[in-house]
Amino acid sequence: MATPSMGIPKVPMAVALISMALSKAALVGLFFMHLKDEARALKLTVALPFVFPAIYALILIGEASWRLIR
Amino acid sequence: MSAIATAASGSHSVAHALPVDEYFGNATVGKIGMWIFLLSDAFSFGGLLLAYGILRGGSEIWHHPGEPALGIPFTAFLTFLLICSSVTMVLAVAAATEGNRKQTMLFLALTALGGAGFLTGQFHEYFGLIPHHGLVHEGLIFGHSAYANTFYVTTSFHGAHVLTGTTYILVTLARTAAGKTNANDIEILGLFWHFVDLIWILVFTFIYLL
Repeated sequence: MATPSMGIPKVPMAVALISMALSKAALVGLFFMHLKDEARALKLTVALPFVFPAIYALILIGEASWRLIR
Repeated sequence: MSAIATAASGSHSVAHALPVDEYFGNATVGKIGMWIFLLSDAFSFGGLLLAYGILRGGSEIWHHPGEPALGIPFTAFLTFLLICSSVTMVLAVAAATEGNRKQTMLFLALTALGGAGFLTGQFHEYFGLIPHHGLVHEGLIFGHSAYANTFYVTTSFHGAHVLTGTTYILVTLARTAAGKTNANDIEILGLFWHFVDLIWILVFTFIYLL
């Protein structure tokens, strides 16, 4: 990992960084881009398609993990 | 849809009043169009970040000897600059909603300045504003490794968005000065700019921090 780990193990550090980045991205979408004030249909139009890259990411992580442990 | 306030008082530009949609409420056609465009753009970045993950996960040596480490403090400053420009964009949208043209123009100009600063910083990071500085001169060459390729492709793709956004802001600024914009136009511009900020947070985390 490129960042100084400060004694924190690699995996929890990665999980924490990704969680913070995704949370910040969600806050920008909800408040700065006013998605929280939009109609339900627009919220769903924006949010639902992100299920697909999330599924792809989970499949890829699972496949990479399987290759590592087999 | 209720009448949309003009950013320029006395302006001829007024968004066409449409009836409130059963599903999309007050959202204008332009706003829905921008959201759909941003979704497609988000998938482009998603594809790049997934490719980065696959290449990195599958490589035995990711960071080859001789390749420089990425400068996190400098890029963190650029990140801060981009976040500040997002705040000035929020203020521009608020001023446009109130119909305050002068403040709208001021905050749009500050936002464009933030974008220009970010681009200058990225140029310095790649090529160096000082001779013999910059990642290219330090050994991070495009085409030499997956690490270099994913870094340049992803960050320059984002940089292209910042350039597009800055141009879009400057054009909107000129149109606002001419009294040709309304609050809806500024809000749609804001959606694009906040998206550029939102994506950078993910790019910075995956490419620089992890």
